Amino acid sequence: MMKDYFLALIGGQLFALDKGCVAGIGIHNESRGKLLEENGKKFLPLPDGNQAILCDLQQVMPGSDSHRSKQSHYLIITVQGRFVALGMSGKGRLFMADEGELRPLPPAFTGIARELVFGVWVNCNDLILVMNASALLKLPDGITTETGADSVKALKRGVEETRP
Amino acid sequence: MTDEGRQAETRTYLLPLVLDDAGGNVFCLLSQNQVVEILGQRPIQRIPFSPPFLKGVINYSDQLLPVINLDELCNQRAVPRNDGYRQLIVVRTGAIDPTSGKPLKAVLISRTRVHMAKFSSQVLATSFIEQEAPASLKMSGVLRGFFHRQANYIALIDLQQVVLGSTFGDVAPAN
Repeated sequence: MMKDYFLALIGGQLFALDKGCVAGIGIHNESRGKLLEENGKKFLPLPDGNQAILCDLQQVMPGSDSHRSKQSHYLIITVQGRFVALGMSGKGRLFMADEGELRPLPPAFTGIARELVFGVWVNCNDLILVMNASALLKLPDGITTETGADSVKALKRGVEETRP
Repeated sequence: MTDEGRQAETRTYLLPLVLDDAGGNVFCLLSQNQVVEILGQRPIQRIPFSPPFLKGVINYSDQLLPVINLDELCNQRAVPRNDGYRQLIVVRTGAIDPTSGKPLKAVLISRTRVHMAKFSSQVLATSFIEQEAPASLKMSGVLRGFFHRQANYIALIDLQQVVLGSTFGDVAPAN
């Protein structure tokens, strides 16, 4: 079945998320606001008064030091009523894909890796990892980012601003 | 020609291993039957929260294969190195995917070019002397045998547990 997904470039890798859980896009901008810090976790303040917990997936990728790429935007998603801000490069975009074409990760990948990435699409030479948003809430505390302050450019239901 | 030369020779591949606690050159011996293909560099898709020795996945002949760095698998306490690689070796592991029932392949990373060697069955039977393996190899969970031959050490490995994901748990985030 064809379904809408949001495509984000995180740490040089392509990730897909169900469009329904994307709340908006924020921009990294140290001059326009400060991150909040509570119990060692960092939060991005949102215009509506909510906060999104920062999550840096680059930190937990193998070879993260050598492949670290600049994260210009935040992808803000809602998971079980909570906001999560994922650092990403670029604004991302919407795309449609067939769920029936999803392939599972090889069995060598277990635990959180398997829970977080529940499938892979092969698109010519690119592999798109499909992320299970609810698994983000189970991630260890250590992946909250330590990057500078940010501000949210757009926090709208849907992702109109990211449409190509 | 010697008796050794007249015998049918078996082609093998020797993958150099970098072990922190080994006293000499160590090679992982792969039989011709194990090796499917040797590839050059290609993009490896990294998977978050996978152990450092699992470098990611590649799409090979319409199959997703895990990419394994044996050096990091055997030196798990060492700081992971990311200084690139030269070749990717697609290997049969002997394991069967419990979900699909298909044989599982894996891809091994090689920092240098893989060596090829031919051994007769007599050489394989007589000139490989079993040795005590370095602790790093013993603790890796993949060692099947460790031998000394001339100036080199040869390790035989079994990747079934690794490709089935049954030996290693979750990975804590890097701090």
